[in-house]
Amino acid sequence: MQFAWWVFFISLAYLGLLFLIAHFADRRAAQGKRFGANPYVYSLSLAVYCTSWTFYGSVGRAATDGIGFLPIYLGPTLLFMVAPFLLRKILKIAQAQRTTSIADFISSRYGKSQLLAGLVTVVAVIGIMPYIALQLKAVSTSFDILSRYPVIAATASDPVAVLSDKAFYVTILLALFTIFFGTRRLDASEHHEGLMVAIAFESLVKLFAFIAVGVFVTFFMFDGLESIFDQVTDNATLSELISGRALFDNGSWTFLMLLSALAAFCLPRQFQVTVVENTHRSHLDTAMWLFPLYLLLINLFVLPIAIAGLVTFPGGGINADTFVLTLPMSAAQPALALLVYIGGLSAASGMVIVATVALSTMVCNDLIVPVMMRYRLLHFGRMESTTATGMLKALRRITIIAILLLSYSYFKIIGDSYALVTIGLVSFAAAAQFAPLIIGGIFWKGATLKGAIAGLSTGFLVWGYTLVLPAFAQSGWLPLSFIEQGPFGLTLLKPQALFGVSWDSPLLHSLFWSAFINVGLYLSVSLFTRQNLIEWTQARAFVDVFEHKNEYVTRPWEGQIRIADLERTVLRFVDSDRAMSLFGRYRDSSLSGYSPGMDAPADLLTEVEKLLSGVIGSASARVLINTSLRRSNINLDNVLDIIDEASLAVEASREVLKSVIENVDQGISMYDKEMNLVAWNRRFVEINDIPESLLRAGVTLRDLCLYNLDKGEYGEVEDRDAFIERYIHDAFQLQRTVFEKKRPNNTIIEVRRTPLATGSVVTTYTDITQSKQAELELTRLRNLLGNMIDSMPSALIGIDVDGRITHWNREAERMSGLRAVNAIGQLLSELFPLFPDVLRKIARSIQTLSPDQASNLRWENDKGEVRYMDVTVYPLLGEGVEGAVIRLDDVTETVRMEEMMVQSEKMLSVGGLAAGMAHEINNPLAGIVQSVQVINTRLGREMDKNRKVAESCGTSIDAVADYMDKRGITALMEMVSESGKRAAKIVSSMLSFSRKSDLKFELRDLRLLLDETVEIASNDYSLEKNYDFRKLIIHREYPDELPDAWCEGGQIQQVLLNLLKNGAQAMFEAAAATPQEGRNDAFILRIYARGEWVCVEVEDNGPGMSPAVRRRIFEPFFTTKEVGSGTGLGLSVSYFIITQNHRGSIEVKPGQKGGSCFVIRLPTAAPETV
Amino acid sequence: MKKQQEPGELSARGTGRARMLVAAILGALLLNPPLLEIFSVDPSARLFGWPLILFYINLTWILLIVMVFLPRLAVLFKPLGSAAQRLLGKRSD
Repeated sequence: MQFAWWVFFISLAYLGLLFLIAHFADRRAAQGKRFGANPYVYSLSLAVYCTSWTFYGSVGRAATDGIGFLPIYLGPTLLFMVAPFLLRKILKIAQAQRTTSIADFISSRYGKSQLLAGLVTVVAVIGIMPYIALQLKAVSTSFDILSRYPVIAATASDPVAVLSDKAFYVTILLALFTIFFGTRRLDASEHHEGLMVAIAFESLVKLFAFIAVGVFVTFFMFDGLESIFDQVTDNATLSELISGRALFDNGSWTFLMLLSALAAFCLPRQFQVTVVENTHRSHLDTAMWLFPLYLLLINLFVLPIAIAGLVTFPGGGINADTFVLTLPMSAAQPALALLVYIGGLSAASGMVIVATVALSTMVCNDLIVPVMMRYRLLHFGRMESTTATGMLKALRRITIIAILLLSYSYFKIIGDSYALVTIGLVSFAAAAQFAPLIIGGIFWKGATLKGAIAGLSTGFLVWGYTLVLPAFAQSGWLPLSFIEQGPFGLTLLKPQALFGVSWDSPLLHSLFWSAFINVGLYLSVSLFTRQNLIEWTQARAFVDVFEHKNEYVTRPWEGQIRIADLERTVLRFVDSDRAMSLFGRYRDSSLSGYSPGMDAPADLLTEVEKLLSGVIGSASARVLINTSLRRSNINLDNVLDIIDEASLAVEASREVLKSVIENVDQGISMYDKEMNLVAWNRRFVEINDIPESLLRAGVTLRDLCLYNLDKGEYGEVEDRDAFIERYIHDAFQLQRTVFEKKRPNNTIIEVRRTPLATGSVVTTYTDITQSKQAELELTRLRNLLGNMIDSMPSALIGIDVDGRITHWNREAERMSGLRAVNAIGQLLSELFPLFPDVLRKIARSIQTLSPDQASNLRWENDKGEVRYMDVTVYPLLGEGVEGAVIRLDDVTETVRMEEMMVQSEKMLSVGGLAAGMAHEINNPLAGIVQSVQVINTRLGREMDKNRKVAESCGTSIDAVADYMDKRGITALMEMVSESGKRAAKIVSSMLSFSRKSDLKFELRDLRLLLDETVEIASNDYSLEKNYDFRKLIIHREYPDELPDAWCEGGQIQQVLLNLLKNGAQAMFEAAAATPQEGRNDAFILRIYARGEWVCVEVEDNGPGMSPAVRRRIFEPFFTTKEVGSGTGLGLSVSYFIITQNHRGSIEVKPGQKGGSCFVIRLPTAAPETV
Repeated sequence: MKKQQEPGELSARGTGRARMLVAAILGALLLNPPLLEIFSVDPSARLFGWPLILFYINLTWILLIVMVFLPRLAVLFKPLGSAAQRLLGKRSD
């Protein structure tokens, strides 16, 4: 087999291997086992920058320019140093905007202009097509050279027919590969993971191949670096080249460095791998060092190989661009040569595939789709079409083939006119035209669409005029005089010496003028033109991409479309899963009655626009949606103008407001009426402990609620859906709500929800944990103190310096009958007007800060009871608190006990006196009684001695007796005797009554005891008051059989006597007050047995007692008698005797005949203790 | 709540951003005329076999890469340093 076939089959096998790698990576990604989305694959895929232009062309350039090839790689190295400032921002914007290409990115920034997107696409295609042609040329040339091994061809082969041209078949193969892996998904914003893994693999292959040939040439063909560079020493021209002085002098070095830095992100393929295919922004951190390292390594042996080539192939017989391949061939190393060829194929195919994917996306989205929409071949209308997705895929595939065929055509027609390096730089210069639009667009809000179009179009025209047309002229398509004399002989317009300014390098000349005009017009036109609202919105979304607010920008739409129509038509362009997911998510999050028949809200249209942007580009997506909307009558331009002006004014205040909101200590969040979280501050995130990853565009209250449910923020929830619905319902109440929420970490948050007129809800979160704890502690202490004060037996009243009541405890309520709520705030002097002395003392106490006291103040409560109290005033000594605490002690009982004690002592003294008097009376009384008895005896007729003595006296005893009978002396004597006996009996009773210390409990017959007492009472009379006990009728109702009662006879007599006397007095007083004829005041005395008790009833038929008097009749000192006529102690002492001394009872009830009836019960047996 | 930085993950915020900016400015100055002209005065000068200008450019290139990679190196070697410190500390005890 010929070597050429080996090369051909190995080429096929290598491309097949790439297929397998890409397919394997895609399949792994589909299984969720992604290994393509890592920083190393990303960094190596960036090395698509190193195309065949690097692989072959760098050596060629080194052979002519020495170290002049280095700026092309130093530029990107420096670019990645400033990646944090530039590339990171571009990545963030691209992800937010779902960017599909550089044209999409630029047009998005400038109001999603289809015109600008189309212009960028045209520039890119025209600028990059030569570059793709360059790759095809490199593959073709390298194949030709290698297939002739061992012959080393001096020049390229003669032109061949297309069908015989291997480059054509390479083109077809690459087209198939690109179609297969570049258009599997319609959404261009999705990542081509398999493709990127294949590109990364190619990067490794080309690096390995280049280093292999470098090592071989340096250390095997020559004796190391020194040996190679010594070859230069003798060659002045080469020495000069290596020194690079020529480049330094004319500024080429710096210009090239700048140009390559710009090209590293402005070339469509570089933008594709750097931005569109980036899966995570953090991958840039690795790329920042790994990509420059790759560039360093791949350029390490460029100069040695170039020098070796010049030495090995002197005379220029072999094209320097092929030294990498021809040197191992010359050393009879076919395997190494084959490896180099594969490296070159890798470099070329990688570039072609990625560039074609990028360009086909741009051409399809930004040229073909807009044209089709313009001619109604692709629209959102009612016409049913299910072929939109397939049509778009087919368009993209056709575009890929078209681009590659056009590139092949370019290669066939004009490719030989420039060296590889020159073609590459032409493309670099074209791509650099995008740089002002990108850099200005992401850092300057003022850049306008008109400025961008003006700058790019003129810059591109200058580029074409100064670089492309001269190339055509050199290829014979235009007369050479066009270069030498200018068009129409106008020397000022000479394409390589515009306005008479010439450079050594036509590239520098073109770069200067295109950049000057591009940037100049971009800036100046932007300054003198205005943005429309879409531009204004997008400008902020780009420049302020790191601020949250931009993720929620909802742009205006110029009409309406029903949700059902929108969903149906979106399904024509997007995979059904993704479309259903979007609409399903919206339906689930919709608060207010979602209905397919309702008009789609602006935010849903914006979401759809983003989804479509990934398929047909943002500019086409917007136009596509706009064409489907029913127009409203509002003049949108006018509205936009108004909004523009208002928005600019609002912007300044928004910044101020933002800084204020960010610095308040409260968490603040705002949900729009669709429940989207549209604004929040730092404290909101901190207080609610929400991860930043959750706070992305489109997060809703439902999402946050779900997150909190998962986190256990609301405890155990059984029905999660119902809970969320209720939570959302509560959150969007129409009235302002305030509540406290205790979080699982025991912090307490005060949540205030305030609904706005727009349907949004602003919620503030305040951490009140500390203040709540302090409040609880304060409440506890207050309750404790209140309880302590209320539990005090004294009334405590707090007053301030003005005498107003501040505290009023429960005892004060009880004493005064006034509730605290009524008392607090009143003046003490108004509540206690009766004690001016006390008020004066209080005032004095507060002034002098010394306590004061007043004792036994007499007052009457609301029931008319006489009470006594002690008042103590304590001035408040605490700092900042003035006033006093007044303590009121009810000492009524104490005072009365004291009085009773005094009275008892008095009575005791009187009793003793009475006993003494009785004893003294008893002796003469005994003499009287005895004497009367003796007289009666000595006057008796029967006694002999009396007869004898009478006869001796000259009379007879009978005469004396008759005399005495006739004169009634005998009766008088009898009366004296009886009176004496009665007096003796009275004295005896008095003695027994007064003999208190000699209490003698025994079983007594109460009938006798009562009769004795009545006997004593019968001696009670008062002439002055016309009072005589004996006038009263006594009814006795005694049973025949009666058990004795266990009692102390004297005390029971005292009680009964008291009852009889009181009753008698009452009846006489009533009789005196209302004299009545035939009145019969009487006592009914009953005695009867009741179980273990003997009961005595003393009932009178006097005036009786009112219920009020009955209730108080046993109270000490209570009396119904006139002042001075009674102590009020009688019944209370009686009560004491019966209840305490005898363990009996005494009560009073209305009498059967209108009087009062006292009932005494006494035990029939001795109690356990008396 | 701020995202916790994972081990080995570099952030270009703060000092990192400043270091990158300094590296870029320094690189631009070092890799451009007139500094480069100093090293191209004598084309025959060699260092380790390399022409002086080429050696200087490659060395500067490497240094720039190291400047970017340095924080990652610090992260990688931090555990080793800590382990060594602990080891030395134990020995000194």
